[in-house]
Amino acid sequence: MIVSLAFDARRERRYARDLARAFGGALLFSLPLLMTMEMWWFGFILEPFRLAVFLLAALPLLLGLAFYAGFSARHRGLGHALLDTLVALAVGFLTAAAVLSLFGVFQPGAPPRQLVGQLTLQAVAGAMGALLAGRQLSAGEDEVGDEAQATWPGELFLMVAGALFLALNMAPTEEMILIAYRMTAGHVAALLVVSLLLMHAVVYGVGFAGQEEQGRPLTAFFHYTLPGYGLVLLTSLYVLWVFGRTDGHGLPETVDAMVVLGFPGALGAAAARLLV
Amino acid sequence: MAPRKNKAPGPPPAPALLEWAAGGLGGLIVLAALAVIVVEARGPRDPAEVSARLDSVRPAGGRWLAEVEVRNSGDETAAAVEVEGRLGAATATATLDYVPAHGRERVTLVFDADPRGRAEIAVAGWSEP
Repeated sequence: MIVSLAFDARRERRYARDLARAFGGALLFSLPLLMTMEMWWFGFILEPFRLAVFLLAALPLLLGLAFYAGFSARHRGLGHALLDTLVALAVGFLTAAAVLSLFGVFQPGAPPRQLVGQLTLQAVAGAMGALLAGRQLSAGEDEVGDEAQATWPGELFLMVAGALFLALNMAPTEEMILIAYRMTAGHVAALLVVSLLLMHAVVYGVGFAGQEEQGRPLTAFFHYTLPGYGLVLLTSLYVLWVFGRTDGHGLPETVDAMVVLGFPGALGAAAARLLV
Repeated sequence: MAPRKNKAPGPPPAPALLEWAAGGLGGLIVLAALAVIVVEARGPRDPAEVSARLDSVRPAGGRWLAEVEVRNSGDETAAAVEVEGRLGAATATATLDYVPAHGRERVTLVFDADPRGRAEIAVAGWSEP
């Protein structure tokens, strides 16, 4: 990455536009979470340990997204990806702070830990939105990101990012656990099969890089869908753990909830290719 | 592997100054958030300790509205906090969804007589979130 501290008005203006787009993306993608009351509560309910893990685990994920998607076509390479990650987090935190104050969520006199918790949870989703903004909101004027270059591990990484994004939007609500409670073992098995089939339909239908060689549906199933779904289930388990939904649950209940949250996760993973 | 599309030749251009500023701000915010979280994680984790005290009283429609301040001095959040006020044989109750660690909430209890100096205001119980 070239470093130049000279002031170039054209360059600054162009970047200001990228930045505005990033704020748009953060707002668009994190609004469902910003308007979910459980997310406000989790800001002070979650143990600091889980919150720290959540923030630290988000950093490499955002870096990967910045590498594959990023703000603008002019940003390539790891140096730009690092800078984009930090900018995306700034955008996520500022968007969350602005919207939550506008909604009157912040209580006057609340301890700093509470504000930090509420902002951190929202900022990660906002930062993901900011990084996807270049692709989603750029009106096709320029090709953003390097995802055409994604290798097989890269494709799986994008699946995890897609799964995390959708799972994060669903997991805070009580319904995830409630649905798992209502389901019998038969329901869970059926949902698992449906998740796999739907995921494969999207993966195979949309087409991943290298599908030309992997043209047969069965090969693609074992190459992308099956390992992808495994990662989706692990992502679901992680998100459930972050929100304390695994506490006090036995193994069967935890697996049920994992499959329930894995349903949106699988769709997110399969559609990651469309989003990123 | 698919070929690169619409890529400008040569290395990517230098980041704008605004980009350095925004990136620096992001780094600072993340470090500050981590600092607050880690300091709290390393400190003691006392269980929730919720107390209630009468703040102000005003008459309304022949009854008395008592504003009660509920405080949690512990390091863990209390959920479904039940606040009770007893005045003679009558009991007024109110429930709070959450009282965050080191947080403050307000509830209003309704009495038939002026509760000042005579009502017993207490927290009946709570659950873990």
